[in-house]
Amino acid sequence: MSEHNQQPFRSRDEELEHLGRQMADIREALREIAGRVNQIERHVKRSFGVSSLPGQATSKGPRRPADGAPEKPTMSAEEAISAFEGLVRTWKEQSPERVESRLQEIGTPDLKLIAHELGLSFTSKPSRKVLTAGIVGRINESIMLSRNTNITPPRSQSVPPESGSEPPKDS
Amino acid sequence: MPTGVRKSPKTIATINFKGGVGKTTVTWCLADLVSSFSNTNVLMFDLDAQMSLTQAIALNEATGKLHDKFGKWYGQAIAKRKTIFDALDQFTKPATHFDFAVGFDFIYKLSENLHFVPSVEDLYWMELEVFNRDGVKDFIRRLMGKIANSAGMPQYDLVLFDCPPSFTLLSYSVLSCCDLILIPVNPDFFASKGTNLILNSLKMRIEPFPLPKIGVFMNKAKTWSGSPTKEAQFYIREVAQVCREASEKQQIEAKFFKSWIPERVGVKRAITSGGIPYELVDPFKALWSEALDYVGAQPAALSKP
Repeated sequence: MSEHNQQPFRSRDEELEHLGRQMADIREALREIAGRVNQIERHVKRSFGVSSLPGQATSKGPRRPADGAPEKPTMSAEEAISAFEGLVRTWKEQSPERVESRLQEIGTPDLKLIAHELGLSFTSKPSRKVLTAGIVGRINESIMLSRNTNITPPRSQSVPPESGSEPPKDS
Repeated sequence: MPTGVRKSPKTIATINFKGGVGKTTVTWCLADLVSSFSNTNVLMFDLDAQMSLTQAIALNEATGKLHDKFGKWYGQAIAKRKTIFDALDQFTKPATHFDFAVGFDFIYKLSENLHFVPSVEDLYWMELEVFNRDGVKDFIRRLMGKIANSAGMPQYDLVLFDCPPSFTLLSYSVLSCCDLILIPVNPDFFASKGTNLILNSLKMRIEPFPLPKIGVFMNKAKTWSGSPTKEAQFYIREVAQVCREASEKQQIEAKFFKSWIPERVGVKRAITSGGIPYELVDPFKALWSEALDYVGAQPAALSKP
């Protein structure tokens, strides 16, 4: 049986208040756990002179590939911009699906470089999904910037109807 | 003043259908730059009923009131019916000769070689009063003729128009006769989108007049280490592409300038506080040089201290 059923709330506000208290308790517990982990890490570092225990993934610093070398893009900044322009052309001339599959073929470091060259900024380390979404957003902007939807000539310049299609005159 | 045959001044209209892109500050900075750094005689029009340029010039920041000299002159211009609205009113009256006398009761002297025709609130309601588009199209052309041929008025080398962020009858009249349409854009989607709209629709609105040359440039570009940010560069590339495509498709002359103006906090205060900010002088000089080169004018040496 759920807690909701054990403790029926008299109002929505009361339930929200209860959930808020629960979240605060969990946050406090997580803070305590994180503090304890930090304490142990400091102790291990000071007493044993190692930064991490065997089999323990460090939580700090960028994740690196197995060989220890940092991931580097395979293209230059100019090539990244050209790649983006190619994606825009593909979107226009072929299909958005083709662009999606092309993006899936591009490695994460290259995706990051393209996103960087397009001026996309992210609050934290972006996932491939976020990078792809950002680039697709810029593709859409590029297409919308050069698209006209309803520009019509002024009335004064409208083409008069052909003589054969003129409405019959009042008799 | 030199005598003999008067040459026509170069006329530049600053316009964008998007508000807030910096039309007013660009107009002011160019006018201030050219008049301050050369012996060019500059006339500047505020055609926007929102009167941003007029108010910025007229407002004393310290007191929040109109500068005494301008305030007095402006009051007299309104009382004597010598405003841009009165000139238009006279021009559009049926079956009357356009005999609006032009003098320094119509044009205000900001400095020795920078003169100004302010806006008035009446322009807000002009569209309701004047229905005949064709009746207005020649207004600016004729008014410029009056200014050029009025005794006691200087020979202007450059006329700048600060247009409203919409296609009004006055915009129509200016764009029908100017040498260059200057379109500032900003590095964001909405400000950039307006460029495409103008470039692809202006020609059919201006016809049968030939469409003037159009110069587009990036204004208020955020910078990083002295260059536009990557985001600003994205919009620079995109708007340049829009210009290229529109030129080809519409058979118009639309150029995206290489010069760009960096964003500067408080640039509007440059108008009320007297001059173009020091760090914007070089960017505006570059823009001015490129614009003159584009319209085929001899660049005035911008070296006067």
